[in-house]
Amino acid sequence: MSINRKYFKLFINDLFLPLIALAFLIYINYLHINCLSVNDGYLMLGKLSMLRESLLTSILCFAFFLFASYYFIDKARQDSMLECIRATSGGARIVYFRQLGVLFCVAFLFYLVYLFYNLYAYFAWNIGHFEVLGHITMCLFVYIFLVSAAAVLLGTLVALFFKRLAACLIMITIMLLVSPVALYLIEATFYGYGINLFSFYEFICLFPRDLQSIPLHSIGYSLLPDRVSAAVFYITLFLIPIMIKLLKKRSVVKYACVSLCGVICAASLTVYFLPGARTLTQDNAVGSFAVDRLYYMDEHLGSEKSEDGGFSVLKYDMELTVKNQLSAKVTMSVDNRSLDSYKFTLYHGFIITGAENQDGAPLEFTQDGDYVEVKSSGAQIASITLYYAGYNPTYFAHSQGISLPGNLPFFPRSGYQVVYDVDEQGFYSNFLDKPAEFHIRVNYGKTVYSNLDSVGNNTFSGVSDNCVLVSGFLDQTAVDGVEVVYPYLDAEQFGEEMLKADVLSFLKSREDDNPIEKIIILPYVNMGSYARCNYYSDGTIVCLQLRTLSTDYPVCLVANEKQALFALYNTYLKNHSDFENRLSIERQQYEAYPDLEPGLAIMMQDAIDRLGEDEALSAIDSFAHDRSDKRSYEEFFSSLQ
Amino acid sequence: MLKIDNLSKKFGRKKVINDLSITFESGVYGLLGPNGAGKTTLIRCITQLYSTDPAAITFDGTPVQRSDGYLSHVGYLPQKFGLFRDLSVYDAMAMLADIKRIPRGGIKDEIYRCVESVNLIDRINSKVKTLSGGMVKRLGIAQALLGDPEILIFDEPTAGLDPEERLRFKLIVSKLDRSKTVIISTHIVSDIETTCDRVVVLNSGNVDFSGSCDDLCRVAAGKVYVVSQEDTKTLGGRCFVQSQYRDESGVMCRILSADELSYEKVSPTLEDGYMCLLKGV
Repeated sequence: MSINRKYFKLFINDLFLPLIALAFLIYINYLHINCLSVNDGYLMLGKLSMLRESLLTSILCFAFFLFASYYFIDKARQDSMLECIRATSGGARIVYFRQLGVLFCVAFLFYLVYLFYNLYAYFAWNIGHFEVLGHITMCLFVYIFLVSAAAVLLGTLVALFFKRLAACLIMITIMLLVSPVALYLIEATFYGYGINLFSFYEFICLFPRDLQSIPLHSIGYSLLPDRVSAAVFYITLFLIPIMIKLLKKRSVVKYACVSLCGVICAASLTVYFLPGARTLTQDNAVGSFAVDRLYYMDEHLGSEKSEDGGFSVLKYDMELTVKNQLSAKVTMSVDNRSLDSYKFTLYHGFIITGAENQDGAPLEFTQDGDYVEVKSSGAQIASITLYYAGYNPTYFAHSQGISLPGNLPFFPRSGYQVVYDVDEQGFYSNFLDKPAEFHIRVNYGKTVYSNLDSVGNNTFSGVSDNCVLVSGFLDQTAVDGVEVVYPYLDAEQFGEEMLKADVLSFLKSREDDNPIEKIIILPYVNMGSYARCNYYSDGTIVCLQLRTLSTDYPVCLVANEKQALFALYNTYLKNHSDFENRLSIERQQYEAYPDLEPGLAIMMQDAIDRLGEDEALSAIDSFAHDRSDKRSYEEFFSSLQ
Repeated sequence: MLKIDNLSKKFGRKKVINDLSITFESGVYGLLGPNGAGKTTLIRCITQLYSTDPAAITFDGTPVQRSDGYLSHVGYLPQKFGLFRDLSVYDAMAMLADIKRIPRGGIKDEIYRCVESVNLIDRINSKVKTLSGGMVKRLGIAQALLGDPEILIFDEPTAGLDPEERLRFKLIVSKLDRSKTVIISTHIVSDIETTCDRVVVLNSGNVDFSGSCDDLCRVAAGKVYVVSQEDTKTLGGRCFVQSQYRDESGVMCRILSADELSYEKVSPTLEDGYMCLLKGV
């Protein structure tokens, strides 16, 4: 132990290292104390604001330990001790490994400082949920300690293998590659030349994402296998040449250590590339919601279909397993047993691996994008079981949480439906034509919430025209008889008093008489207006915010394809001058181009002129809210006499 | 006994050591040679800093590459030597003692013994960076003595030292146990004149001479003359001016010549013999 103290003295007695370490520590302390003291300003970032503050410095930790390690390890050469050390048996190994030990201890000390502040915030801000404590600890471990460890090993590697000038160039290049500067260049390359280097950037950049935006409070920051395995991969990758250089030649220990590191390295790389949903990364132009936008707008524009399947699903029996992605076994009881084929809509990210009938006999099927066709081969079909697995990058289902709203066809729907609105860049609010019976069992380590009734451990049952599943850092409470499932870490919106006030305010503001049993708050992702609010037939509202529910809710009761008409209806009622302006423009256009169809405002005004304002507006309101009425605007207005 | 048999070492196409064979027994050996002769390369081969043919170097009959404990028998002071500057003398020596696997219980006594032998005991708690160059070199000797190794190798130990430090070095070496094998590599003949029992002269990777100091002196026997500086001009290329000095007669030159000259012959020194070898006189 006394000898190890000498190596610590080597670090502490240096002119630069302790000064820079101290300056960094002071900066870290300042950031965290500032976060604690001005918490009001951070309410928007919720109870993860301290963690966010810590993770923002991840890249600084990396930079510090990269250069500090190089400098510290290179001391033997700088102080002309290298030859002396190497002329002893295992001298270099002893010196360098002890120096590495010092650096890891310093990194761990930094980790403890971060952990201290986060623990303080955890208790001071009454977060109260043990799972969040685990999340904070692990986030700091991965993004502070492991990142620092990787930097220590990289700095050591550079010091052992490269001379000073080359070493400096390498380290500066690495810093540029992992910095936001590289991201700007990658974006420019993508938009300018169409070359996609985002995956490369994600692979080399160990730092946490989406720190500039409001975090997803229901899952926190990413601790998915790809993030952890990337860190482990680089650590073992850097360790291998270090061990080859330092460990005794032709020794069993060397072979064993190098082999072990090699195996872990390969395994980490494999885990990194396993398919699975990854947390939203808004700094990736082709990631997160951009994946769907690119798919539907660029690659598959015009491939959408709309076709009645000729049957309805009466009952869904679902066995869902969520690990890195969603695996599903869904058995659907159908009402029409004699069809030649059964058409379904299922999001294309879920790949079907098998189909069976009620007797377990395999059925032939095809899957083309979002559209699945299962052949009956002439047999009577009482039920169809589909096996599938996959993910959607935005509506995730992975080890940290689940966000599967009914907007996303994560379970098969009868018939072919247009799934994605390219104008709104979001998934349509598609519902089942008539409510079906659901029995769902979710194999998952955390508590899952659903619009359906809970009948056991993550088991749900009920009748509805849609299904939503959520899990993560969520809590459930009751306000005026309405159950509310919400992300408790979002302190700004869902503090106890605020939540109650918003729910009561909404309930009071309603003009309809639909039953409201449950409100489920989804993680806020930018997926078009359809995601803002949806009402399910079982009385569940699935929405993004409580504060705007009073305005979002009435809109969500209107069918997808009638949103434009309903918007115009509201304009007529609330801002008549705007309606008049639009009407005037449409009339001018119609006069100029009489071959064109009359605009919506013209049709609406004609109806009002024919029937009278009250009757016409009432008919329009009813039409807009009737999801089962699939007539076009022209057909509807023509029918008004 | 350290035996070197047909050792060759090349870097790229350049052969630095050429089929060299020599045996080092107990005693103090001076390894002389001009810059680029291969002295440091030879030393680095002995200390296993460079890889060599397995059978080329043996210690007590065992090839050094197969001997796990060989390096624990070697104390080495490299040409460019330093210690961790931010540590105290004691701490730096302790790190080296640890590397040399000296038992933890005996480290303190061993450090004090070695530091005392180089007369630096009064600076044992000073930071290394506060020491002069000569003191650091003495510390280098001290660290080489750690563990009381059988073989001591000093590579250019007096390079950059003032005359006082060089004298100190000679005194230290003179006190070393003669049962050890001490190899002092230098191109300064005066460093080894009074300390070495035997001399090895390397030139261009080959051993030009191996023998006692007296034997080396005898190489120049009858070839060393003292002439005035003016007379050297008349001799032209038949001689090599070894050194100059001033006496009551004026500036005199000590020259080496294989020719029989009519000038005053003098007894050869070690340096004369060395220069005769180098210049092929």
